[in-house]
Amino acid sequence: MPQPDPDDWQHWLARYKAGLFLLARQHLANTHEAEDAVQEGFVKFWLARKTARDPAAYLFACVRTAAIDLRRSRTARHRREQSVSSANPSLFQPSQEHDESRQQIEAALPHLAPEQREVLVLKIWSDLTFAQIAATLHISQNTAASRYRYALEHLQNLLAPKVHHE
Amino acid sequence: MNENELERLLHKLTPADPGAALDARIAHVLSQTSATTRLPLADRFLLAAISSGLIAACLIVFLVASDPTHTAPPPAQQAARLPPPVEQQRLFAQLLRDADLQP
Repeated sequence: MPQPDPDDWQHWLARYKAGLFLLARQHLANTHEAEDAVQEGFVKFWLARKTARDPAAYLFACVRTAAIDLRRSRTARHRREQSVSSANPSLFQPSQEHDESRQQIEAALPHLAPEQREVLVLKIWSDLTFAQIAATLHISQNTAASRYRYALEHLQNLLAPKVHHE
Repeated sequence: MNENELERLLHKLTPADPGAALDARIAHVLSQTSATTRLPLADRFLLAAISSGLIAACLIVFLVASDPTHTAPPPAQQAARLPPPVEQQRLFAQLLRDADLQP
């Protein structure tokens, strides 16, 4: 996929919005808070993008940091209230063709280790390279690649008896 | 299902979109940010003038404070202004006598 126009923030947002939102939702169960994290991280990225070596990796790192900070800033009580009161919509868009698989994958994803899930989200649904994932998560490329393999392996085991070939 | 099939299946899923409201919120924040960072030329001159004035005022205060004519005399001079110890004792005794407190 081509890189967005470096001076048009709407291109950047349109290109990465869904992946950023999915990444934020790995840290924040509440969708409104995940949107807040995307907004905060994106604005921070946009104002400092010219200093970044890899702008896409920097964008994801900004949103991830915003999501983690937002989660930490909430008190335990507030989080409990939010988790009870707010609905938790699907992580993926409904699709008639793959809806059964979607539901099974959504049910399996929370069983992955958080660090494996993050790499999976960045690789599959954000189209980042292992180098970019490494820069986003401040880990080595080898670690990113092995986490990805472990995530796939774990997911295979979780889905083995369930998913039908479509 | 092998790894490649699983990857293909995962790629078929499209993450949920946060919606257009987020675009509007970001547009609003970015417009506010650019409004504060891009001041008109007249405002920039005003800011520069205020900054220069503040720096000049600080410099004047520093120069006045470091001027020896405006500083307190050194301890040696202060001590020189006090009467010698014998004279102090004499004055104190005089005070006691005047107050009729001497036994």
